[in-house]
Amino acid sequence: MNVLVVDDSAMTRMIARKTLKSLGVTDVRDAEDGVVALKMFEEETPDVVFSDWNMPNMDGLQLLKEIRQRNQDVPVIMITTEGSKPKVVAAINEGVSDYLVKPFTPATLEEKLGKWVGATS
Amino acid sequence: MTATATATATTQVLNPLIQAARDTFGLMLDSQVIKGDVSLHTIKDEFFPLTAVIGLAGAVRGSVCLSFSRELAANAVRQMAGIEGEVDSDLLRDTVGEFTNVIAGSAKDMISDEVSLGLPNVICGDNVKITFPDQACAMRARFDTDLGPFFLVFGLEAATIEL
Repeated sequence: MNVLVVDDSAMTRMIARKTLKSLGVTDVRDAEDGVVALKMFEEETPDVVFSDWNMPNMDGLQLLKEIRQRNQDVPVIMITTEGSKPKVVAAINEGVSDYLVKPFTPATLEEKLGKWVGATS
Repeated sequence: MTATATATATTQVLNPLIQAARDTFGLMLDSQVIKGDVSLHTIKDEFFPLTAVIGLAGAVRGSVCLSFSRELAANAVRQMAGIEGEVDSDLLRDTVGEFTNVIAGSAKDMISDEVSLGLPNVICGDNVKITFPDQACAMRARFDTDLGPFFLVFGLEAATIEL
């Protein structure tokens, strides 16, 4: 399984990597913003994308739009601290697959992985 | 906007921020947060060496700050990343910023949909002076955890939208 994690926080990326590793996922790439993530996405299509919402350079919503222009099928799960209705509606309109609320636990990350890409280990 | 509206906004914001701090430390660090006294914040009040500031706009506007002791930031990184020894300064700053982002974002959800958050900025040094909007009733609270102490400081004023 190939997972792309996008978050401007190095700590969050580190936690996601550690958690995914504990779930048996070893093929993890990470990016600090949407610009870097889109380049990685184009180089190799991941099985699932976990993306933060608020990031510099290119935010998660813009990244979602760019990904959907290239691929309609890859699950894109927005990692967010907030669930404001206008933002949720905007993301639904752009084809978001699901949400992961920060702070997340290994169990919730595993649940999302299982839901969108099948068993993790 | 009136003083009453700002006082109401301050009250309505305080409890969600405290709850969000407790939830975040509980989930991310498995650490219990003990709240100390809440008081008015003045320009002379001190901060810990690592302070993250995040701006809020919309129904309420102003800033929320989280100020971490180095001890707390380093212990948080060690625990979350599963590492030992010295922690890189960039990672300390990043961690304080991310905690502030998560706590402010979680609290925002309990306050209003009509509030938007900026990105956190992290300031290093304990001789920090942060000013808040003129009409804000700036508050501060000290918290203690088993990993170290932190301050929550915020100053928000109500805009024209009713909360």
